[in-house]
Amino acid sequence: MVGSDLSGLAPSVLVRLGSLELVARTIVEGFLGGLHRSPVKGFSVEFSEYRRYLPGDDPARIDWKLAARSGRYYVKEFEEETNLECHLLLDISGSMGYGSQPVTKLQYGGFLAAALACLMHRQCDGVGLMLFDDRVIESVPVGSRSGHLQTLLSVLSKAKIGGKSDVAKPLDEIATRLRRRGLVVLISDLLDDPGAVIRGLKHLRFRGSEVIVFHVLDPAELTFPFERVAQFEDMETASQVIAVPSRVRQCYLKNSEEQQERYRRELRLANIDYHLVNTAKPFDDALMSYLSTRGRRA
Amino acid sequence: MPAFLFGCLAAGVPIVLHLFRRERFQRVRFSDVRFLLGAQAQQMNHLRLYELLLLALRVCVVLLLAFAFAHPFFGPDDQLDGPVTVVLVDTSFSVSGPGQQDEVQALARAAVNATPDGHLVGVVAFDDEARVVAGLTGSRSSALAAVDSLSARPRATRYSEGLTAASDLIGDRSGRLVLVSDMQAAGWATGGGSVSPRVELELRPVRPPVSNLAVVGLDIDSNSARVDLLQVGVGPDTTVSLALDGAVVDKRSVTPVTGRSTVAFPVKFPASGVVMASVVDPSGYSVDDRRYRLLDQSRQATLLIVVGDVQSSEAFYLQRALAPGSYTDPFAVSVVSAAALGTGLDIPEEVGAVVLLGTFGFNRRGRGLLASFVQNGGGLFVAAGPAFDGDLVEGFLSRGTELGFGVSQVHVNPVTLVVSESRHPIIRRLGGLASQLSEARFTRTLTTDPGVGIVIARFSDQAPALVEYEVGEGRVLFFASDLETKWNDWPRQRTFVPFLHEVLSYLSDHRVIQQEFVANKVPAGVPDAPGVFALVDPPGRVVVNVDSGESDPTPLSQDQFVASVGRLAQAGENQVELTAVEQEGQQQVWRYLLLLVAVFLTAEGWLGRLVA
Repeated sequence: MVGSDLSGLAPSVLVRLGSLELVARTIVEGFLGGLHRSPVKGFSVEFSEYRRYLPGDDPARIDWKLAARSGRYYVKEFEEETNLECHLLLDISGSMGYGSQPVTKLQYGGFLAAALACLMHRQCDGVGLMLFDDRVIESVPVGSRSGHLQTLLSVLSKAKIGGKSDVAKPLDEIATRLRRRGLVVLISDLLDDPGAVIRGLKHLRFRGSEVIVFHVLDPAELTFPFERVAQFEDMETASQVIAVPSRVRQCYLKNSEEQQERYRRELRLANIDYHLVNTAKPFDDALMSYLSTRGRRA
Repeated sequence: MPAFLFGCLAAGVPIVLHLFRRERFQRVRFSDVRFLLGAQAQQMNHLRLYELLLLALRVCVVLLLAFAFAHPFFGPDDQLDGPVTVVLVDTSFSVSGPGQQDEVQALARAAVNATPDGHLVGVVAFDDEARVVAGLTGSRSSALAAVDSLSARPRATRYSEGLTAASDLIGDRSGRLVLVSDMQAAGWATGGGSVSPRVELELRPVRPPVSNLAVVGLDIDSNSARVDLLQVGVGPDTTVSLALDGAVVDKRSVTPVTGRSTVAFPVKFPASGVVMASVVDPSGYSVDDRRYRLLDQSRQATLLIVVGDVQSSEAFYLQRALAPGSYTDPFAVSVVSAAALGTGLDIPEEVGAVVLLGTFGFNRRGRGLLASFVQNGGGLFVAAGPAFDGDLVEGFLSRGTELGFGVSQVHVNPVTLVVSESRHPIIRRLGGLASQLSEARFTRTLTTDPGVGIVIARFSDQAPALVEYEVGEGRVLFFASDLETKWNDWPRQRTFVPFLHEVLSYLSDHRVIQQEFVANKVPAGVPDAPGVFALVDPPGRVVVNVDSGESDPTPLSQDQFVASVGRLAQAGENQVELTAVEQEGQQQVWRYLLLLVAVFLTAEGWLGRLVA
């Protein structure tokens, strides 16, 4: 299965594809094609088309009558109903520009947002996009028309690194904009005041929206693999620290893990999905998380 | 080698590198440094501390290397700083003439009182040895009291001793050296001392006596006695007396002529007793007006020189050096060939020391005789040379004692002698001359492993030059070059004769009892004044006379004297340098510095790896 192979492609390979739309579709097709058990079952009620059965498809979806007539196996596919508003919030602050791999956190977040937008669009969900750092830089309102996805992908592909981050601010803004309950997907490295971020997310949850948080971190941020004494410069504040990695690694990892654990703990209590995403890993886990939450919402 | 201290400038290299290295940290743009900040303060403190330690270690290594190559040593501890005035007072018997002592006291007191404000003052007395009678002090009264306690002694003048002691007292300070002396020319006979260029020399001359008549020699043979007189200046007629055991035997009126003269007495003396020749000299020194001679059976030191070939010139310079009149203590010298020793010729009982110059034809019996002589307390002086077979000597001599005679070595750049055991009696007896041993140039030497021997002197390439071994009850002194002029030019140097006399006196001291002394070399328990004195162990008696050279009070002019000191300034520098080499050789501080460098480098490596 081609799709299955594509879903396993590393982000560093996907980034070479160039077009964000192509990347997004590759991710989504690969992901969906590789699912042994379709998570979208039950989402749609309107028949769309027949498709040849592929290994991995649920045998329950085989149209046995058609099989008896034609001697071939076909599965039914359905047109989904648009009953969900999805808001993709992508952090483009300076720290998102970091990447020890060929893919920066912003690129990874952009791919993820694009893949999610594709997925949502396939399911006829309304999708909106908001790029922010310490303020909202770019905003695409929720829409589900055919050209809307291209607009959204175009905005994503033009996203550039911004300044300092202030996650709480766009969260408050989106909370005030929400007209109906929807799904809010936050893609950020969450390098901000955890208290403010959590308050903002709780605010959204309070307004009845489902919230998924993708905490995007680079492998270097997760393991701090540096060896030589170096002058570390903050990408947002430009403040500098000379450090001996071997001596600060333990302290750094402890602080970092404490923050992740705080997000994980407090967001779980607020019934918010929190997913730590490693930019060196494929997008499967992230997409699966989304589908899981989407299913719950449906 | 203070030039190596310029290497200290290299200590700037690690400092510069350290400063540059601070700028060469790899710059890493990172998403958020907040998590680093907590740990950063602690680890940066460590890092800075480690880097400073590293820097200190590296600087220390460079400095230690520079110091090690400079071959440092610890000099005398000079606790006092600032300018000084040292009053150097002559106490030889050449200032014991009528009225001279009062003049010496007055001049010395005046010199102390004239000490400039801010100067410390010290007083050094000297004749043929120097004594610091008042160390550097700010108290004029202490110095004056020291001056008052001084009086003339029956000793000779040796300016070298006084100048050296005064220079040692002054050390590295600046100041004045005031010399109160009769400026007697004879005081320079044995060489000079040193005066630092930072020290101003002032002369306070004491007027010599108008004339002096001295008995400078007394020779007695079987039928006559000859009295040698020295008249300086014009003196009145006098009477020369000859007495045996205090009883006047003969006397004669003479009109002394200026210079040396001899008065002969046709007299026959018994086999024992003390003969005294005396003159009446009211205007000169009194201590040189008489001279004693012991008629007891002579126990004069006898030397046996063993050569390879008696016809050769192997012993020429040695014999000349030991000839009568060459130095204060004469030796009776016999020369035999190595082949003859043991073939009908034994080592006589009265021989105090043997000098072995050649081994050609040395048969087994002769070797046995010489070994037995040394084992029983005899002294042996072995000099390497073309006719010397080290293996042969080592074979018969080293019964349980390792004598490491090696092979001869040619020096393209001649080496010199450097004293390494300044406390050895031979070196002590040489006094100021020891510093002039370096004048000789050696083009060929014999390598020697001293083993358990005492290295008294080394060549300037650090090879042992003069080594003393204890063999049985005797002593062996080995000199690693020849006593001719084939391997060196030492026989032409002024230190050759005194050195050989002191070496051979030392070797024969415990076998031959000396019976006649000059006042500066009396045995223990004997006063250093002219006269006859009894000995207890071994029983006997000795006579003591003054150094006849001191009887001539002829002075140098002040200009001549200052010029002499000026010439000595260079020699003085040599001496200081030699002393420094000597001290450095003994202390070898550089070894400890290099050890410290190794420790520091180890620590640097460990710390460097930690920081990296």
